[in-house]
This record gives sequence, C-alpha cells and structure tokens, in this order.
Amino acid sequence: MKALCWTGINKTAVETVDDPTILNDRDIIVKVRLTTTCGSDLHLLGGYIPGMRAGDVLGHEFMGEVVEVGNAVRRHTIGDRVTVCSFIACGQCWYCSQQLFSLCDNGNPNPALTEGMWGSAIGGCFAYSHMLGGFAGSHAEYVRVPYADQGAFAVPDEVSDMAALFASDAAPTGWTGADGAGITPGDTVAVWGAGGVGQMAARGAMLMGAEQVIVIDRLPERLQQVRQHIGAETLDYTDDNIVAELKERTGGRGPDVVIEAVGMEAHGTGPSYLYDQVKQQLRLQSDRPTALREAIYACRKGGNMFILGVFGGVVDKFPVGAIMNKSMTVRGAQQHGHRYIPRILQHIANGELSTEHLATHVMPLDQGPQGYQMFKNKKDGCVRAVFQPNGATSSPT
Amino acid sequence: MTINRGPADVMPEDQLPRPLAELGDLVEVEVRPAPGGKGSELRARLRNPEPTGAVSAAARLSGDDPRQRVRAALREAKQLIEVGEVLRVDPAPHGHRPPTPAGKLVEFATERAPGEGVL
Repeated sequence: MKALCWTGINKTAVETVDDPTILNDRDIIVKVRLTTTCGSDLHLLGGYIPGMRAGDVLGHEFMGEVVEVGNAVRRHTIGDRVTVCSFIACGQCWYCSQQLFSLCDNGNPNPALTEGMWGSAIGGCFAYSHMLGGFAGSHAEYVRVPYADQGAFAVPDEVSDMAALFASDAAPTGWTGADGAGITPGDTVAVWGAGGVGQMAARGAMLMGAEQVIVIDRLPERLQQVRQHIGAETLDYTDDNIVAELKERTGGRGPDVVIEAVGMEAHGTGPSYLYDQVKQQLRLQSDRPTALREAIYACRKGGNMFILGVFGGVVDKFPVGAIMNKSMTVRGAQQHGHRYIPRILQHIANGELSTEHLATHVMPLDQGPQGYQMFKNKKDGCVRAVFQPNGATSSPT
Repeated sequence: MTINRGPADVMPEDQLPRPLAELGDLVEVEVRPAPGGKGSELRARLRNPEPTGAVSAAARLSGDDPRQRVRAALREAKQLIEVGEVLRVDPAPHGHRPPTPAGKLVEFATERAPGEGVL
C-alpha cells in the first residue's frame, strides 16, 4: 500500500509499504478515508521528539471504514464507519479505569523509553515515535488499530466523514484541556493557540459553561475561524500586550483558567522569544515555553492552568515563583479521548460543535509532502491539510 | 508492578502467572493487595545478587542482564491478567530504513525497552 513516511528531519515521502495485519485478537484494520496533519507532527518532523526512525509511517488523527476484525473484537464489524482515538489504551488497567486513558499502563510496547525520560511510561500513540510505541500511522491506505473496542468509535449517520475526522484527536484533546482545567460556569478562559486543538478547547470550554472565552494567536485566518465557527473572542499577540489586554477584559483579575495549546515550538515577540529560540537551537533546552510563561503570568490568583501543547523535555526560565505565590493549579495531559469522543460526536450531530472548517486543504495522499510543507509554513491560510489515501469518498450526509 | 485485579486473580490458587513461572528459580515472587483499591502489587526479585558495575553495563547492553527478563515477564504478566493479551507492534508497515547511526540507536533502544525501566 501507499504510505507517507518520515524520511529525515523535515523530510517526508510517499513510499510503498507492507499492508498492516491483525497482530492481536483485539485489533481491527481500518481502510483510511481521511487523515490529517496535526501541529504535534511538526515536533516529529523537526526532530524535536526523539525516537523517530526513517521509514516511520506518519499520522495519528484519522477516520475510516473497518475492513478486518480480530477474534476478540465485540463492538465493531466489517463496514463500520469509525473515528479512532490517537492514543492507544487497553481500557482495563487502573489508569483506564480512572478514565485517564492516555496514561494507560499497557498501550506502549516500549515503556522503558518514556519511563527513563519522565519517570513513568504513558500509553501508546499512533505514529508518535518509538517512544510512544512505534505504531504505524494513518497516513496510509490501511492502518492497524489495537484495542479496537476501546479506541474506535462508530460515527453516527448525521456526522460527516470530515466532521468525524477531528473527533479523533483535535476535539478530544481540546475537551481534555477544558474538562481537566476544572472550568466552572461563569469562568473566563483564555486559550493560547488558535490551531485545531486550541479552537476545540475554546469550544469545549464554552459548552462546559465558560462565560467568556478568549483565544490568542497571530495568524489572522485562524483568529477569523475562532470568531466565525467557535464564537469566542480573539487577541492577536503581535498587536496587543496580551497580559494587559486580558486584565483589561477581566476587570483587572486575569482569566480564571488559562489553557496552553501551543507546545514546544511556540512563537512569540520580544527578547524572551529570541532567547528561547537560541537556547533550543543550541540544544540547551529541548522546548520553547514562550506561550507557557505568558499564560502563567496572565492567570488570575488561585486560577487553573492546563498544558495541552506537547512538551517533550526541559525548559529554562520557568516561572515557578508565579505558580507558587499565586496559588495556581497546574495540570497537563495528552488526550484522554476515549472519555470524550462519544459526547463530541453527539455535540457534532446536535449542531453544537463545528469541526469541518479546520480542513482548509484536502488532497490525495500523494501530495502529502507538499501538504506538510504548506501546513508547517502556514501557507495559503492552511489550518489543517487533510489527506485522502483511498481517494475522495462520500459520507452518508 | 501494580495490577488492577485482586490477588486471587493475579495468582489463582497460588499459581504464578505464566511469564513469571517460566523464569523458574530465577526469582522469588510475592503478591499483596495494593492500597486505595489499586489492585495488587506483584513483586518479583532475583534470588541471586544483581549484576553491578561494568558487568551490569555490559549485560544490559548485550541483553543478558537477568533483570531485563524479570521486567519483561512482569509486564507480560500484567497484560495477560488485565487485558488477556500481550500487545504487539511488530511487524509494523514502514518505508525504507537506511542504516543510519540514529536509526540503529532507536532500533537498539526499542529492542531493550521491554526489559529496561526505573525499578
């Protein structure tokens, strides 16, 4: 089959690879209809996340059709239209029983790598380096899905393929942040990053009762999407002093909840951004915490912060004094998508959540390398490049 | 290793989980309830002293350190008891893998990963 592979730092190519096979009784094979680039892929492409091998098949956000089922699969049959959570979780360990699915004890066959880096291994993830299991990704005609009864979800007829695509990763990651941040009705929430995850976190916050949601970015097309499809306020950090403006909009308090949906390759303005760039390029810090620092500084006293953007290692000049003295609560996570995907599909079916607008550029898989370049460089207003490995398909709707 | 099942499910009738039984006399095994409803704590310790120093480093690199067998067996036992299967990843589809030093390092690290860990 054809697959889009990582071939080296900032290099990808479409190659012919073996078809996936059922390896465990709880597996299914999915014929991929739609699969999309994710901002977190850029960390892999750029070599910021260790553990990639040339030839690894990329892609972790996808939906498609079940074409083969293992002997122990109970909830899926051939022909089902499914969206698949990017994280691989067994559903049986203690963490899964607590609905902390991205922390699954059993979903990562290479546990020692993250155990060494972070003290504990987290679950596995499609195409997120050999640190998170070395699973082949979805930028391919077919993909193997382990623990399918847990991680694959039937798509309701009212939900289109394109809408369901983003219920795989962007939306449940946003929901993980909004829910994990402990939003209560009436809260003001500020979200750094207006990519797919930031937009979904903002919408999730609104549906969880936030009264005022403000999304921060620099790209006008993304901020326009936030206003048009999410219904939140926006701020352009190249125009405004973000901390002062957030204080202005909240009576001097600052947001009750701040959500960082940017991650280790943050952009910014001013000397701290230059400092982070230099230190990262010299490998004196692995991640650029530019947006993270601002979020901590902007948060109100006693407020909550959720780190949704992907960070891999260590950062410098981390304002722990602000966290301690302002009595902040800080949490973070990869997505616990198994917990949120059913309700997200229902929100889409009910017309309460828009996701299709994220797919600004739809193309065949053969154009994957160009799609990633467009996505990485934000060319032509690209928010997400979406690939069709099996050609254009039509949804029931 | 903590397993999300009661001790009676971890070692029914005092029978060792198969991956640990296969280690024979290499280890002594103990199971006890985990606090806070977290299931059971399954412990396996080498009967003989652990390798240390240069001998340990060489054994870990060559994959001959007995602790690697114990960790891998504990992880397999946990999966069999909790899920009913040991998750596999290979053979996974992949493109051309040129023999680069970085690629060899990742390959080596993943080969050792099931048997390495903090404990």
